[in-house]
Amino acid sequence: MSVLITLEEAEFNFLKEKVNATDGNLSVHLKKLEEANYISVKKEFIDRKPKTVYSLTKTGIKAFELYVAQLEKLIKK
Amino acid sequence: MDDRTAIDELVFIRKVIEDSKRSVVENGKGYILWGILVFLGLMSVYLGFVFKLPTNSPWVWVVLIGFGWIYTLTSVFSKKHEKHVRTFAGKILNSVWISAGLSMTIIGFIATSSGMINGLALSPLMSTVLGAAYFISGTVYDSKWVKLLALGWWCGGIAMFFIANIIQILIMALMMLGLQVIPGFVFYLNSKKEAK
Repeated sequence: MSVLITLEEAEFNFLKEKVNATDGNLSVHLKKLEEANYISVKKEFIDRKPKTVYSLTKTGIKAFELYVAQLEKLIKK
Repeated sequence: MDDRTAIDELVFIRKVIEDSKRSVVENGKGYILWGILVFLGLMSVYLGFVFKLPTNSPWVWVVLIGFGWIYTLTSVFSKKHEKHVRTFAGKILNSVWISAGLSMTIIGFIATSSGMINGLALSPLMSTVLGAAYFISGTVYDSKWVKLLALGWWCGGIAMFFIANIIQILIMALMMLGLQVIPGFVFYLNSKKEAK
């Protein structure tokens, strides 16, 4: 979510590299975020190669901002 | 969650965000190519005027600028499919440079051929437009030296408004090398470093 918040969209391999996760581990996390409607997934073929692109939804952005605000509130207490 | 964990979490989020922001790395190729094309065009005008050569022709500009646009449009189009990531900042920078380029093309070809703008006003006008594009780029990159380039273009523009002779063309050509081609190489080297 932290990676996607600064980007318009990112490919699976880019996210994998950024969060230093395995394919399986990242897929599970992304699936959960997709089910929560926090991210949207776009699948396409470029030169016959599959490409999966992820981006944050409005719900995802709101949830992320709320999470960061709660963390800040916790520290200020 | 305790305070320590909350702080660690925020530090981690900040680090990831900063790291992702660096994905907006300009490869500098566009800056170099456009800088060289315009430099060649300006030199063809200068040498044509000084040595009475046939290089001072609008067709030289048509070929140079046409080539620049073909390169720009094909690279923007192919990047859409190549890149692993698309950033909001990258989108803004693309829009800024395409709109600045279009404005300069309109001023350069339409405004001069209609007679509305004197040919000698071209360089200072272009310089002013470039200053604006560099200033916005510097803000997006959060880079002081890119903003200083904007200052260079604006100061050069002001100076050239008072130089109504062929020397103005030579000044603009040198500015194109110093404030466009060299920064392009800096962007290029930085992008190579980031890629490693």
